Amino acid sequence: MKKLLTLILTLAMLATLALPAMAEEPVAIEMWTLFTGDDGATMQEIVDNFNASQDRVTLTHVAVDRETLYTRLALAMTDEASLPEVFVTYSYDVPYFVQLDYIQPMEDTLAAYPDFDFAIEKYHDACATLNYYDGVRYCVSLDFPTWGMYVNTALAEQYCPDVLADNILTWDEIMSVGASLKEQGVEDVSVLASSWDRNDLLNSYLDVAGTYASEDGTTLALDKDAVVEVLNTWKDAYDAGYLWEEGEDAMTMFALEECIFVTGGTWNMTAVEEYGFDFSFIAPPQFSADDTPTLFGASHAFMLPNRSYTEDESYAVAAFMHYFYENSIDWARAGSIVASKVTAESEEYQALPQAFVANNYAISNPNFTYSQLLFDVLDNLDWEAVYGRMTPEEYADAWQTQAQERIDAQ
Amino acid sequence: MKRSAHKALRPYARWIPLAFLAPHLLVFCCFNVFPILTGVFASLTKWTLGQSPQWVGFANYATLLTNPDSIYYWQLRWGLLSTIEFVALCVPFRILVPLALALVLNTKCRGHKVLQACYYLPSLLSLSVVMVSWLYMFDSSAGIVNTLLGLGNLRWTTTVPYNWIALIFITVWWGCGGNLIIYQSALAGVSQEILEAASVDGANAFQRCIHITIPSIKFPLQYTIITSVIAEFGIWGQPDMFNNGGPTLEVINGVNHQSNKMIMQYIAESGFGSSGVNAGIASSMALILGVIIFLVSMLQFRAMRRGND
Repeated sequence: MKKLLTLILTLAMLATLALPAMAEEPVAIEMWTLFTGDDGATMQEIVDNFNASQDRVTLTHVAVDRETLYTRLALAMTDEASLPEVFVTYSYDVPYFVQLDYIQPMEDTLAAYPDFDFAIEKYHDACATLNYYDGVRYCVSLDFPTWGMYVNTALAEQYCPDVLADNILTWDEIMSVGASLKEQGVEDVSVLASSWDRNDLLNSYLDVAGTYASEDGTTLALDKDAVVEVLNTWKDAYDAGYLWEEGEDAMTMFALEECIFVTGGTWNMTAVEEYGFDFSFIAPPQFSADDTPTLFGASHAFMLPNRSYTEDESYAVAAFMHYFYENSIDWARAGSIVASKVTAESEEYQALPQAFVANNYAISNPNFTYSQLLFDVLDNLDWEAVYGRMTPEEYADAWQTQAQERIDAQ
Repeated sequence: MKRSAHKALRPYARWIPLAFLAPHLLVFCCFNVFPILTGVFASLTKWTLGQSPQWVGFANYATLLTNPDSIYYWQLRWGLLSTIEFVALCVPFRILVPLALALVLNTKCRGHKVLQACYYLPSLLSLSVVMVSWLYMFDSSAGIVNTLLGLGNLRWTTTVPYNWIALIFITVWWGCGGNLIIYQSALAGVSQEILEAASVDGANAFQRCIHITIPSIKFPLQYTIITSVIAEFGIWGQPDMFNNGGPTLEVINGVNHQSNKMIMQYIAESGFGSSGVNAGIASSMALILGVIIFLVSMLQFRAMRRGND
C-alpha cells in the first residue's frame, strides 16, 4: 500500500512538472509583408498587440519593400527552411504565384479552426472573387489599398462649389475649373496634382476600357485607342496649365494648399491628416459623371508559401489572421478600406474618410496573371507622353511591346 | 628523428604548398569561381528564379546581339552607350579633382587637416543619404542649387545635359575621398631633395608638379585610373535614385531610349524586378558587360606597361 502511494505521488509530481511544459511549447512564426513606412509601423503595432495577447505564439514581422519581397520569395523557394510561415502581398499575384508553385491553397488550414470562422461571407464582397483562383481559396484579404483623390474642402468651396455636388470630378469639370482659375488670375493654385503616374493612368484607362486582359485572365488585351485617349486627356489639361508642373511634388503642393485636388491612395490618409485642414476622399477624375466611378484598387492578402507546416505553425498563422480580422479597426485608422465586415459595419469605421468610397463604389481590379508586370512597365514609362517626350501612340506601343515581351519570357 | 620526419614527408612535398594555399583557394572558389560559373550557366538558360532554369544555349546572346525586334537588344545597346559615356565623362574628374585637392593639401596650408576630413567625409555616407540630400538640393522649384546659381526652375533630373552634369558632380563629390587618401600618401613620399633641386634650377611650381610630382606618383595614379574605370562601369544607384534613367530621347520598336539609363539598371530590372524576372537575359547582359570591362582593363594595363617601358 505504501509502495503504491509512493508510486502515485511520484507520477503525480512528474505529471505536474511535465504537463505545463508540454502545453506551453512555444511557437515562433515569421510573416513577411510589403508594409514599410507608416503602414509598416501600424502593422508592427498590431503584431505586438497580438503577441501580447498570446500565451505561446510569437509572430515576427519582417517588412520589406515590394521588389525585395518578390526577390526574397523567389530565392527562398529553393530552400523551405528560409520561407516564412505566412506572407502578405497583393491578391492579383495569386494566379502568377500558383503558376510558379509559390503558394498553396488555404482551405485546409482555414477549415481546421472552425472557431476562428474564416467564412468568405464575413469578408468584403470583393473577396469572393479576389481570394479565389480556379475555384480554390488561396488567400485571405486584409484590406483594399485603393486609388482615389483627396479634396481640399476650403479650396473646393472657394473655387468650384458646384463641381462636387455629386462627389464626382469629371475631366470636363477639370477643364472648366482650370479655365475659371485662369480668368480670375489665380496663379498659385492648380486644379489637380498627381502623386503617382502609374495609378492615375491605370485608373483612367480602366475608366475608359474596363480591362487590360482577356476574359480568362491569361492574355494581355490592352486597348491602344483607350491608352491614347487617356494620355491625350491628361496632356490637354497639363498643356493648358491646369495641373502640376514637371518636377513639382504633388503631396507637397497639396500640403501647401497649392492645388484643390490631389490623387492618392488610401495609404496616404495618415499623412494627409497631418496637413491640418479639412479634406475628403473621393474617386479620381472620371470621364463621365453618369456611370459609377471607377476606382483602381487591389487587395493585400495573407498567403501561405508552398512549404510544410506543423500543427502548431498552422494554428499560429490562423490565430493571427483571426486576430487581424477582429482588430481591423487599428488598420482602418491608418486609412485602409478593410476586408473585415465586422469592422466595416462599426460606427467608428463609418466615420472615417475612406468609408465614403468603400460604401459607394466598387474596386476595379482586372483578373490578370501578369498584372504586376504590366504595372512595372508603366512605372518606367512615367508621364513621358504627358510631358511631350513621347507621343501617346508611341507610349501605347511601348507599354504593349515591353509588357508582352516580358510576359513571353515567363 | 628530425631527419626521419623530413624523409617521411618527402613524397608529399609537392602537396605541402597546396595545403597552405587551400584555405584561400576554398574561399576564392566559393565566392569568386562558383558565382562566375553560375552566372555563365544562368546566361545559357531561361530562368525566372522561382522555377528551375531551362537550357536555351546561346539564344539569349543571339537575342541581345542580333534581334532588333527584342526590347533587350535595344536595352543592351542604349545601356552600354550611356555607361561608356558616363565612364568617359566621369573618370577624368574622379582622378583630377582628388589629385588637385591632394596637391593643395600637400602644401600643408592652414586648416589642411580639417579640409582633408571634410573632403573624405562624403565617402562615408550611404548612397541613399547622398541621393536624397542632393535630390533636395537639385529640386527644380525649391532647391538651393537653382537659387544660388539663379537658374530659375531648371529641371536637373529631366533636362539634358544638366542631368549628366548633376550625376557626374554627385558621383565625384561622393567618391572623391578614396582617391584623395591614396594621392596624399603617395605625395608624402615624393623626394623633397629633387623638388628643392628643381627650385634652385629655376623650375616654378607648375613645372615641378608636372615634371617631378606627377611622375613620382605614377603607379598610384595608374592604380586609381583602373579601379575608377571598373567602378564607374558598374554605375547603378545614382541614376536609379536620381531620375530612374532620365528623360526619353527616342523610341524605337516600342522601347524608349532614356538619356542616362545605365546597363546595370537594365540588368537589375531584368534580373531582380518585382515581376517578369528574366535572369537568363540579365546574366547574359552582365557577362557582356564583364567582358567589356575586362578588355578595357587589359588595354589600360598594356598602355601603362608601354608607358613604363
